[in-house]
Amino acid sequence: MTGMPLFDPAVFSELNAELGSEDVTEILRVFLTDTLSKMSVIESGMQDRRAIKREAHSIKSSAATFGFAELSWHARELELRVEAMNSPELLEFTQMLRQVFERTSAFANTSLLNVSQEIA
Amino acid sequence: MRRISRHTEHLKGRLLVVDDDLVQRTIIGKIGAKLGYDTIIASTFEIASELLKTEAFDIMTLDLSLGERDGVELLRLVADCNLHAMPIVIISGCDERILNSTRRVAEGLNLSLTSCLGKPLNLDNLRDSLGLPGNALVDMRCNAASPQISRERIASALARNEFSVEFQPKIDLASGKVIGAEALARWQTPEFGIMSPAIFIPLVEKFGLMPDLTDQVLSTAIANGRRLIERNPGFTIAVNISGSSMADLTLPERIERILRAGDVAPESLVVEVTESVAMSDIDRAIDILVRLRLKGVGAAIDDFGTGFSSLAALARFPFSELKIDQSFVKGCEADEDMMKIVEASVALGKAFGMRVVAEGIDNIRTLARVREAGCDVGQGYLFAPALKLEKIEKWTMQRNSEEVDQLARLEPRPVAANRFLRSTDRNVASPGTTESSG
Repeated sequence: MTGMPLFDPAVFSELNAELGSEDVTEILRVFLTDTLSKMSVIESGMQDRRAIKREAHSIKSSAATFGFAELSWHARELELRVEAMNSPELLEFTQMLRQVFERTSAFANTSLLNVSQEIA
Repeated sequence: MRRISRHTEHLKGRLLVVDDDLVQRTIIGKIGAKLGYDTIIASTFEIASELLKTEAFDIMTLDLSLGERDGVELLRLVADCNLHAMPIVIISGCDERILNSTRRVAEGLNLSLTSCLGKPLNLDNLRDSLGLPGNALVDMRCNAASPQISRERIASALARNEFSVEFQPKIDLASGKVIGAEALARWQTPEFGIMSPAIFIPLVEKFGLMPDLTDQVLSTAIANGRRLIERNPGFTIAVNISGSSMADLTLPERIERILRAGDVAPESLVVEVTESVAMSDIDRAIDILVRLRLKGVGAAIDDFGTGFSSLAALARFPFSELKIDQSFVKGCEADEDMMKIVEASVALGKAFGMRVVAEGIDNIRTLARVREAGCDVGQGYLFAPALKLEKIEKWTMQRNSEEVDQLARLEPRPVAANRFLRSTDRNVASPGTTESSG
C-alpha cells in the first residue's frame, strides 16, 4: 500500500549488536505495550489533535528505532497531517494505523520475541 | 524515576536521562549503562528539575519535547543551578531550525552543549556523544565585578591621557589588502590593569564625560593612524561614536577641528554608530550624520541586525558602510539560518550602495562563505585581533607590499588558518623574515 516494508532487519540487527538481545527483547516488550497505550490515546482523542500529534510523533521515532518502517511511516503521516484532516479522514487514518500496528505487533511477537500470538 | 547501574567495572560517571518517551529513554539508559554510567532516568520536567537541584551529574541527555513542558525551560534551570560545565546532549525530533535555535539558547545561557541528535536516534552518534564527556568545552566566563570608579578618577585619566587606542585591521575581501582599521579605546590603569570598554564606557557616559573621551579617542586615532593613511591609498580609520555623542550637535565641528589639526582628509575617517544609538534620538542623529557625510566623513552602521530597528535605520540614515554583526557571521558556514541573514544583509547593503563588512571572521570556512555571499570587507581574528600601533603598521606594510593575493593563501585547507595566524605573529615580531607561502 505504501511500498514501505513492515520490517527492516538491518536496523533491528544494528540495535541488537549495540545492546545485546536480552536488552533488545526487554525494550521491544516495552515498545509494544507502550505503543498499544498510545494507540488508545490516539483512538480516543479525536477531539484533542495535539495529543494525537504528540503520540504519533513518539510512535514514529520509536518504531523507526526497531526498523518497523511501515508503522513509522504511517505515524509520521498522521503527525504531519492530523491538524488538516477532517473527522472522517482522521477516523479512517487512525483505523489504518491500528491495522499496521496489529501486523507489526504480530510480527514482533512471532518472529522477534519467539512468542506465539495469543488469540483472545 | 528509574536507576540503571553501569554494566562495566569502571565508573565513567553519572548520567541523567531526561525523556518523556518510554522506549527512547530506556534505550538511552541502556546504552549509558553499557558505556559505564550509573544512569538515572527522569520521565518528566518536574522529576528532572528535582534531581538537578539535589544530585550531581557528569552528563545529561535531554529530549526537547517533554510533554507539556519543554526542554528549553529545563536548559534555563540547568543554568540557574550553575551547572555550566555539565555536558548536555540534546535529542529532538524537531527540524534543524529549531535545533539550531536551541543551540543558540544554550550558548546564550553559557551551557556546555556537546551535540544535538535527531530522531530516530542514531545509536553510533549517541554513543559518541556520551563517550566524550570531560572533553566538553567548559566556558566559564568570569564576571569580574566592576571596580568602583569615581567621576574624578575618570576625569584624571582623561587629563593624564591614560586612554589609548588599538587598531583592528579591515581587509578587502577581493584583494586581501588592508584597507582600513577600527580604532578601539583602551584604558590602561595602574590600579585595575587594562579595563574593558564594556566596563568603562557606561561609567564615562554616566558621569557625562563622553564628549571628552570621544574627542580624546578621535584625536589619538587620527594622530596615530596618519602614517597608515599616508602610506596606503584609500585607507580609513574607523572610530566608534557612543549614544550621548550622537545627540551632541557640536560633534561635526569637533570632528572637523580634530581632522584639521591632524592634517587628515575627512574621507579617511569613518564614524561607526550602532543602530540603537542612531535611533535613540533620531532627529539629532540624522542632523549629525548628514553634516559629517557632507564634509566627506564616512558613516558605518555597526552591529547591524542586533537592534530592533535595523531596517528603519538603513532607510533613514545616510550610512556608507554596513557592518554585519559578528553574531551572524561566526559559524555562518555551518548554520543555514545565519547564512540567510548574512546574504540578506549583503543584498540590503548593496541596494543602498553601501560597502558591506563582515565582522567576526575567525576561520577560513567562514571567510569563504562571506566572500561567496558578496561581502566587500572582512574583520576578525582570522586576520588579526586589535593591534598596537607599531604592530599594525608593520603588519599592514608587509601585507600590502606583497603582490601575492593574501586571501588565496588562506583558501586551500582548514589547517592553514592556524598556520597563517602563527606566521603572522612571527612576521610582526620580526618583519625582516620572509615567509615561504604554500
